[in-house]
Amino acid sequence: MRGYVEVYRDYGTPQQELIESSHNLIVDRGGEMICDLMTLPLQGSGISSASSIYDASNYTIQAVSFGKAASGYFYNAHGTDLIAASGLSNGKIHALALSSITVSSFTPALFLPDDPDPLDTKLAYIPSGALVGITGSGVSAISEYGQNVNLLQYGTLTFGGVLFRAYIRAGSWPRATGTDVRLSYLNSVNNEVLIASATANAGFNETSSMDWRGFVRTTSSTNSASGLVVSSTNSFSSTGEIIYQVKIASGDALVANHYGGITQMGLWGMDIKSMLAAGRTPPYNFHPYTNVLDYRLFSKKTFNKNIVAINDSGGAAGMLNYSDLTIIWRIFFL
Amino acid sequence: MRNKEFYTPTGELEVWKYYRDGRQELHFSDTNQIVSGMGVALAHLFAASGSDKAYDYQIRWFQVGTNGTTPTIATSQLGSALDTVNTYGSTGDLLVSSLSQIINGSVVNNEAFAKISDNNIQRVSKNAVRYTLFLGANNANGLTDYIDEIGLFAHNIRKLATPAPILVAYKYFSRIEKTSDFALVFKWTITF
Repeated sequence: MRGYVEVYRDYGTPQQELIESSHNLIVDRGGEMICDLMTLPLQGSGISSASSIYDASNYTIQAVSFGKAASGYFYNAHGTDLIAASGLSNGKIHALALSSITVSSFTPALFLPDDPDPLDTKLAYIPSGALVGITGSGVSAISEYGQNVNLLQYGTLTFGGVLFRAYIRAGSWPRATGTDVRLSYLNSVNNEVLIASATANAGFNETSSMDWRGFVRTTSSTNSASGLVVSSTNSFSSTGEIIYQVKIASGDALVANHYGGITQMGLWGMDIKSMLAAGRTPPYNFHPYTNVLDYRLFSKKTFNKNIVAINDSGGAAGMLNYSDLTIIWRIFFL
Repeated sequence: MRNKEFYTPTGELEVWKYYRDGRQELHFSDTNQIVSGMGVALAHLFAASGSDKAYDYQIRWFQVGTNGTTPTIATSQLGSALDTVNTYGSTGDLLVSSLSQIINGSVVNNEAFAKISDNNIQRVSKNAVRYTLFLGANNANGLTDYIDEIGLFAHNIRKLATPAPILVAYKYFSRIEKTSDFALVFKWTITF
């Protein structure tokens, strides 16, 4: 089994551009998921109330998520200062440069992730003490899964409305109704000079395909804007190739960049043993802000660059010039 | 450390003789060959293109045979599997069924398979499963050839009316003339 990840800008259009392509890592927990299936006792398969436990989909890829290096969760819009992006400013996702700037693209403080390891169980291992000052309920999901959570959209819905500022710092995806994003600098008399502003329109939250922890569900649709699309190719019988495809909408990419970019991704299966132990019985259904599904990392991709980075191009302001990104993640079983 | 880009299940097989007087003799021990059927089964599972039931992807059957050869990844059947239920002999605790079989993508009927029950499937680590397979003292005796090969099969990935197991792991070993003096015990550990 092996995997291969491709990232395209403007996929399927004449302007299509491949911006990244490389192998992934299948982690050991992927093997654990297969072992769970292989050791499922047949006794009980005839009991109607238990039949959902035997659904094959319980043991397959069910979600994708995005993240960055552990250090990235201290800085940019996650941070407490106003040097780079700060979520503390006016309820907007705000990038503030140190000095006068002439470009309209935000370059976040970037940290490259650790090398992926087969024993990894999450995207990033965020050290104890990180995210100081972010104490809202649900924020622990950042360190629990090491990924970009979706509390801008669902923090208040899931945990109540009193921790809005914490949820802005937690991030990391625009709301379904759009999220304002600004880029400015401080002039010589410490007044803010606005360079560019935009309303980032959501992709994942527009389609309710991402839960509050940042997991994007699989979808039976063929539209990768509505979730993780699973398909196979004509060469399936000889390669066992399965394609997982998901779209990061332009607005999602813009906001993700203000939170430090995207340098990691994960494919996740369900941890049915954990859910059964907690008394949660199948069938298991996805819900964006009451989702209680436990996930288990199956495969991980670490990039050596920020895939949502952007620069100005001629007179086009980078911040206003984002395109959709399409991730095509191929797993070959033969 | 495992290769970071490629993931391949591995397996190890031990063949034991358990004599009636209580003696136990390790006859053979070696790594096995995971064959392409494992990939086919997992691909059907993850693509949701096969059965919708988890147990159809489980390793639930084995065959032994008498014409073992060096396998390749493409091996899809034993060299010469015991081909009838009766060949496995007086069954005792061994349940043998006549089923179909997926061979090189085609379904072939009337192949004999010995069943692996829940009791004989043990999880020995987070990533490893041990299958303990028995040929009792009264099984598979009086064959004209020596037993020298064995295969593991996933149950019914296509969810056919007559289950059609597919070969997922194979091993040939130094030959054994099976008699009623001993049972054969195969301890086969697959690490996923």
